[in-house]
Amino acid sequence: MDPIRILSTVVMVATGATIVLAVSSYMVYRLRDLRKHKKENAAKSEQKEEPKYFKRYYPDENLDSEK
Amino acid sequence: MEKYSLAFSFLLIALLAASLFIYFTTLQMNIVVSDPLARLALITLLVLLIVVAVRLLLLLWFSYLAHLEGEAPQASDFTPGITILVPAYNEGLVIKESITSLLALDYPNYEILIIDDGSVDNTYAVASQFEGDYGKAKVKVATKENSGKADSLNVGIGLAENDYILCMDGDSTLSPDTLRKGIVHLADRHVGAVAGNVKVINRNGILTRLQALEYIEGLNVVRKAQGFFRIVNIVPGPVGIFRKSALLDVGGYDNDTFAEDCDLTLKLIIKGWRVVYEPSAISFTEAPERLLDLMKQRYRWTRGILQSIRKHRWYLFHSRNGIVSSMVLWYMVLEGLVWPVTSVAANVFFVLVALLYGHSSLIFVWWAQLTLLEMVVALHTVAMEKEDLRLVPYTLFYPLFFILIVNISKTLSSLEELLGLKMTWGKLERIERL
Repeated sequence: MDPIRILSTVVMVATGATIVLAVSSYMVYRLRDLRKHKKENAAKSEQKEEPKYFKRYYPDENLDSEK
Repeated sequence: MEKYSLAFSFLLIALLAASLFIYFTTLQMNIVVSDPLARLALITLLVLLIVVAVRLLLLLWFSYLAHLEGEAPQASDFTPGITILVPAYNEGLVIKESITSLLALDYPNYEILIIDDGSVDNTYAVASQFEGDYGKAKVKVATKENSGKADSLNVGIGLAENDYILCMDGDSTLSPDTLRKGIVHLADRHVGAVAGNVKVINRNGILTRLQALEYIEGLNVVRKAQGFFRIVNIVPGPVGIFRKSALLDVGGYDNDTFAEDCDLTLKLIIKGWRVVYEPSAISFTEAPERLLDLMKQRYRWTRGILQSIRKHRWYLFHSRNGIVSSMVLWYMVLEGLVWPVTSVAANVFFVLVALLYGHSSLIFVWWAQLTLLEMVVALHTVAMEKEDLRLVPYTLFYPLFFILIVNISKTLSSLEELLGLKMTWGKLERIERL
């Protein structure tokens, strides 16, 4: 078989395989990244954030204590 | 340099001989291209090959002219105080080596300022152990709430004692004479920044060796060619030396893009500052060892660069300092957007035409010529940088595998950026190879 034809087939197959590998790797990376950020966002929204410098004021409790 | 000159000359002759061989072989193939689509493919292949060859030859020519100019201007008595800014976020594995390498720099007067960006590991604890006065160098550590690299660098610029600042990454190391070699360019008051030379330190697999080759023949030869015109378009994050007044002139780093180094350099060029390249100011950095990590890195680079271009798009058609800023921006559009997309489309197109019309031999001609071109560029750039000649054979895989993967990543990332999809920083996992 003609060596150039063999090499051409190798180059063609390698090109096709590289394209498939690159696209699939990209998709895997993006999916993992999106899942990771969804988890982080879910964890953040579950936390109840208390104010750092101020104490929360509850009007009914204060009225009762003054009486 | 003699052994490189001989090898380079030999390879040039081999390239010419191989090109002639390919030409005559193609003639003998007797390819009759009557189909319009196949003819279009042939013409496209030829045009692209010419474009690639012209681009590579121009880069080689201007980088060679820059090389002839000499490595650094003779101003060895110019040794002003320099502040080295090291922004660090969760760099506990590598910060110790980084600081140790900085304390070994060959320079008489500098300070090392580590800015811990609210790390959740032991970065601050490890860095604090080094605080103190070491004679020629002082080490200071600052910590702040996590708000990103750009903010950390701005905090560092504000705290810096000296008029010259070297910005680097927390996971890089510098060569001992980086400061000496880089600072001399700033004796010229028109120069606002000096881009250093980034090299890959972890060359332990095919992927990292291909990246080492890419940094030498892809990134650094471009910087060298741009340095000839004193308009380097990106001062790399791992090593850049700045005039503090230039940084303040452009308002420091902004945090509205994911490539703050690119954005800052564009701001400097637009304001009229010159940005030069110094190949001897070397920084060693870890390259991604896994394909997914490489994708992550290139995703951020591509989107960050496009964000920077979009931010300064007004200057594509207008200019404050002649046509310099327009030229730089258009060059970035071509390199960052047009070329990767065209290259991927061409590869897909040729494979389809070869399958449909059976002219697969042309694919070999295309690959062979491209690989030979890359080999010549690799040998030339490896010789100029006195790098490892064993990287040159990796050009066999370079255009076919590595560049195609990178260009596909760039194309898909560009699509996401143009569609305006949300992105976040994401951090490269450290492997502690420094």
